[in-house]
Amino acid sequence: MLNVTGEHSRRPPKLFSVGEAGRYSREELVQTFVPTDTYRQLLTIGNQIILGSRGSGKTTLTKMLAHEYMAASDDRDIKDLIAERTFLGIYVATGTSWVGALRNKGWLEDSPEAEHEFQWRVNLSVCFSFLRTLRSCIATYCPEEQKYELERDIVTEIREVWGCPRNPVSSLDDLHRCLRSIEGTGRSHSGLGDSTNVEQAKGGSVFDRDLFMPLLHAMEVADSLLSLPETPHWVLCIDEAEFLTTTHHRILNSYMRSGASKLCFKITTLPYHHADCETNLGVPIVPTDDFDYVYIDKDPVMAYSNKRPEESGARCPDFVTSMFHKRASASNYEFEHISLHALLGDSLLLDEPSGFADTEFLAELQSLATEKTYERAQRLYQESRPEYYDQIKRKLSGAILLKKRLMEQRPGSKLDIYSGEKMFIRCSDYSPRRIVQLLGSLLEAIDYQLPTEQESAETPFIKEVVQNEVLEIFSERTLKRAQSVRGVGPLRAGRVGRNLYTLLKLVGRYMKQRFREEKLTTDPIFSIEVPSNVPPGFARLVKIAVAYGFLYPHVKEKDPDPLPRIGEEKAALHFAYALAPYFQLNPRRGKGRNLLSVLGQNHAERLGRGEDDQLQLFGLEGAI
Amino acid sequence: MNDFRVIDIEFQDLHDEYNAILVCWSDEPRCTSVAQRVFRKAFKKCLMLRDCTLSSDAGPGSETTLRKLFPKLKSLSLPRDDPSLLIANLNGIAKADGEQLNILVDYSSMPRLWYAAILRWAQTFAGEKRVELDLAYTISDYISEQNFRPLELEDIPAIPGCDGVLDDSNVPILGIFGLGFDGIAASEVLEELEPSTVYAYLADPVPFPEYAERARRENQEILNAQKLLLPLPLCSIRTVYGYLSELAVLSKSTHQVKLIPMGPKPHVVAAILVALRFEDVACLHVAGRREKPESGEPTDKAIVTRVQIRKPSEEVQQRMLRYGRAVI
Amino acid sequence: MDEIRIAVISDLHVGGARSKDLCPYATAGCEVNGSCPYKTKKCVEADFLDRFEQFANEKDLEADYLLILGDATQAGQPDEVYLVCEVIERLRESLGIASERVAFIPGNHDVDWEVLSILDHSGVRFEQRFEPIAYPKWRLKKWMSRSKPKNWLLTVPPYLTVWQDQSIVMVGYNSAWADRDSADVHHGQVDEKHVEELEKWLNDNQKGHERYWVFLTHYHPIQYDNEFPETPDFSIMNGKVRSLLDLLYHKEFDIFLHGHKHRPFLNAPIMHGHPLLVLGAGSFSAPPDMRWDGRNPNSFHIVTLRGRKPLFDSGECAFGEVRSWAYYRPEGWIPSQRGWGIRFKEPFGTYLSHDDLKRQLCSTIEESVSKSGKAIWSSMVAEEQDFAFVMRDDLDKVLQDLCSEKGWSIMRKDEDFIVLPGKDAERDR
Repeated sequence: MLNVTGEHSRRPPKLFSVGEAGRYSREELVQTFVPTDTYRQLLTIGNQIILGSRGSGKTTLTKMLAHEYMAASDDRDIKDLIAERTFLGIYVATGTSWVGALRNKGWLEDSPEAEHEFQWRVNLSVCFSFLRTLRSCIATYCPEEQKYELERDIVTEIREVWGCPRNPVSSLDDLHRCLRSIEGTGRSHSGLGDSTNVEQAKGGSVFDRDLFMPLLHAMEVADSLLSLPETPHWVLCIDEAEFLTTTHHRILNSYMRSGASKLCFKITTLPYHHADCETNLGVPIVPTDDFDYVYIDKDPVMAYSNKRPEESGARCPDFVTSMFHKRASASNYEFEHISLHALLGDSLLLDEPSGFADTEFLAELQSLATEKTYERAQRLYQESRPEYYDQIKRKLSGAILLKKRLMEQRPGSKLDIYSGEKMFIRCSDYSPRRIVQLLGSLLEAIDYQLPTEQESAETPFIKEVVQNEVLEIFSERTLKRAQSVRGVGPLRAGRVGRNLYTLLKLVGRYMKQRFREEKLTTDPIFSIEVPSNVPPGFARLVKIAVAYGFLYPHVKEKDPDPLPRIGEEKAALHFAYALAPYFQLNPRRGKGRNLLSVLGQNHAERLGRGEDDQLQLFGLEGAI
Repeated sequence: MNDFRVIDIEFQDLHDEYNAILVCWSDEPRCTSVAQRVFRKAFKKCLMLRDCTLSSDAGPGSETTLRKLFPKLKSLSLPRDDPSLLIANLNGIAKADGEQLNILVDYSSMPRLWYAAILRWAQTFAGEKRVELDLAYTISDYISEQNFRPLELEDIPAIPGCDGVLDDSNVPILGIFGLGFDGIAASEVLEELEPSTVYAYLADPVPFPEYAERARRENQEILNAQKLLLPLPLCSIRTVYGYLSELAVLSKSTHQVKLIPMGPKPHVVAAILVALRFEDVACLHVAGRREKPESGEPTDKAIVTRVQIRKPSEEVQQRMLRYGRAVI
Repeated sequence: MDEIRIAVISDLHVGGARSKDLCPYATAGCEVNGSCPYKTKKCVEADFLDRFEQFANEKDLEADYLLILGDATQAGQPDEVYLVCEVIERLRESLGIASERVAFIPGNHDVDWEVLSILDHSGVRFEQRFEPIAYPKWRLKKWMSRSKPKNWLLTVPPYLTVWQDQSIVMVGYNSAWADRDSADVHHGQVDEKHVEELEKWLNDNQKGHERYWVFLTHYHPIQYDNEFPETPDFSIMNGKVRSLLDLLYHKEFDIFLHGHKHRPFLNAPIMHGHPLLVLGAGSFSAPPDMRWDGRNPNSFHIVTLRGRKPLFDSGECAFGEVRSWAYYRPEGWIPSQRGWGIRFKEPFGTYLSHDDLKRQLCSTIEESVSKSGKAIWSSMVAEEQDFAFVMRDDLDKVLQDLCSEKGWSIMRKDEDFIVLPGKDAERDR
């Protein structure tokens, strides 16, 4: 076996353990980036609000829209755009501590002072980021021998519009220091309630005036001196907007509604965290007119579906395979001969059931499925084999196998059923963060000892039992993380974690019990339906579950706003596939079960056992 | 730009007279331990802070005990997240005669934002007088895993006055995590902050050796992510302050430095001192609630730290700037 | 003259240092079981020396001499002195330095504090204070006095010694001779008689400047910036400091090396028409101490002397560079930065007045700009080698003035920079 790390590593290599894009250097991000159709959809001039659950890749996508990242990429389309100068992205993140600092000022959220402070901070932040983009533009578009003069000329103009002193500001580094100095003088002595000095210090500064004005001025300078085209080309990519409050969103919405056409926006946020479309102008922004929603979470079932491959936004399974190979390459693993399939093999639950003879299958179906399902299977078997196969055998082979394994499992023995390439991809929910974490866990399980070319012919290289254990631990960890989730931005209000954890456990246990006790049908137990009349607190909890990737909505493809309006209309959602191993479920989408019925039933059972305290916390009585 | 001197002392090194003592009433048994050791000293003012959300009947650490020890006790009821009344009282204390203010603070049971506000006030006020804070902390018994309830995360703001620099998306973040038992919350913070570099520290050595082992166990994700793990003693805030300062100072020209102290209170104090001292370093407060607050029995061990704060004159500050005081 | 490299460290404080491998008392649990004699010390690390060796190996560092400028121990105890000998052996080996080229000067912590704490009016205990560091069977004694005039030892009056070979003369003075552990403030002391003895020796033995002349002592001779003037810094040398400095300047010593203040410092004050490069080495391994706004990381330096060159109208001075590293726990030894006390690479040797330097630079830059539209520093240095040895702070001040007056722009790139005519100048025309 190859020991590619040379010795036993006690910690996993970064590219196979760190799923958060913010922790990668630019080089690492560019090296490991896999361009998808969704990404290419963003490479257009136009306002877009990018919705994706935690870990779905929003930060990676938006960073890869920034000029300095695009300029480092080898992708042909990206290189063409860079050469044409028609897409100049500026990346800025409005993260948790950014917004936290705003709250520390002690002003009321909707007060003029708070809005003013927000505007000042946004102006400063985007200008910091603009300098980075500018540096990249100069490096890309200017001949080597003229770079310094061009930088000098641009800086000379920009320092005038930003109000920086003439000396010693003559380089981009000097401009950066100047912005730091402006930030320093504007920093208040808050926490003790004294903000008067701040206003005096900031008064009169261009950063204090209209939103984005300093950026627009600087952009004009760059346009002129870099000979940029007349058509709109500047793109401001605002990441992590979920932390912004409703007021902040309205300020940004107002700009999108009425702002200069020179600047378009790509704003990322969690699902249900784009507070609303209201503006301060009395007229809301309108999807498709003023902006488009782009929802980036992909259902691996749809993406991997043999039926509708053209609907795959990620060219699955190439996406996952590409992720694996790019990371392995960047980590200096030798792997050309290794595919994920070689490592993981087929999935007993999800792949075509090659070893399951029809007679055996029908016999099992008779004992484990409902009578109706069995009769239908028999009929189709007689009348149309393709339909029998597609509608019955394909859907139920895995469920039968799982049920049997669970029934036959002896205490202390280990399952092997959660294994295979397809299972691995399914349980990642197509979330890049989960994919990386799972890849890391799998490699760690084999101590990073990858197979040689000869060994890789024996598929799977990683034993099913080992894969199963990895997925179970991953699944449990994913569920436990729900305890520390909190509501942010427009969904911020008190504690959430324990209630969310309780909700998931109740639903998961319900599904687990139904699967074990009920006869099988072709409709798997993996989805829920949230009625339109749920209490607002409960609706908020469900939205947070979606935002953090514990529940996934069945999106409305043709709707400008693809997400169902939870609490206002009936909404169907499926459990995260990542939770399937923990609750021993078959990870297949199905029709939703009414959530209130699910909980009602559970409620009855739990009441019988005297465990009603969690239900109160759970909020059915409106306690959330 | 202040000079902080942080000195580890013992109870016998405490002064005989203070301008004020600040204690905090709570339902933790140890909230009266320090008071019982120092009540014979002379305090011009005695302030008892109480969380206005706590019931007056909760716990054995009662107001009666404190009032017996300090007949002049004045009670201040405050919300956990708003210390402005406390600050107003400190301003009143500061009007005392003399060039130096000596204040004794028992922060064993004090909410973080309160003792942070006291430190912040001392730093802001220090230009007018020399301020000496003696901070006392009673170590309580180790809390077993069965009795420990994990933190439900609510927010991750910067402690007021410890905001650090404006977040610059282009400057990588250095997250320095102080490890406690709330590994899940720590992992959530790690995911939200997305630091490009992670350092970690934990209390070791501690009076309870199993503490360090458990902190390691609970924080596997942080440990997998860290480039440096420092064991720092519980009982020496000076040492912790020194090492955290060194990490911060030598990194802040290339990173946004964010301290995330989630371990024992003395380590939190050290982190706050670092962030107050170096204004481009942030100290975050991982805020949340527990179903059942930790409350062990007090031991006879205490950690006492003297913080002396002085502010150079304007002229000297200008001269110090020549040596390139670093701001990112 | 030969080029030589001098490795300089100070204030190791073995016994009270930041790492257990620099502590003779370290045992399992020593932080909590009360066995540590220094109750306020808390060792956090254990591999400081290993990391230094790794650093020296990775960077291929070598030097010709190793100088230790005092406070090698925490309290002059035998166990500490013994360990110091081991530590210095490891350090010199990792730098490829011969044992006979190691020199050590005692500091205020290198006196035996235990002995001095014994009640004694006779003065005997005071006489015994140097016994551990001067123990004849240990190498430290040799490193204190390898070559000397007759009767000169650092532990007896006149507390002077000399190390010399064909390249260098190093005069060492034990300015901690008068210090006691019980002193409220530890300050160095310079006695008039000691200065006279030194002067006499120099008059007899200094024949020209074919070798480098270096002075070593523990305490600093000049007042550093003190941010709290109401509590002045008493820890500089007291006594006949002025006389000593006058002597060193008159005798055209090249470098003055000292420790004591745990803050690295470099400057070249000029007196009597001669520059004296003063290097305060800071502390090599004391625990982190965050006074002075963080400008005092643990430090290690290599002074490279490349030769002597003409100075002003007559005379000569040494030129070369000082390289400094700071210790940063996560990464080990990293190049130092100006904000921490000293830049990584600091040249010295060209000492022009501000106006003279400004005139020369201005002329060179204008000439270059008129030819090629810009002036590149590396090209300027290639043409005029003297520029290479201008101290960076002086250079920065002059450039700032010039840019302000002429409207020039400076674009920095790593260690190089480019001066461009300002766009303002074009616009104003």
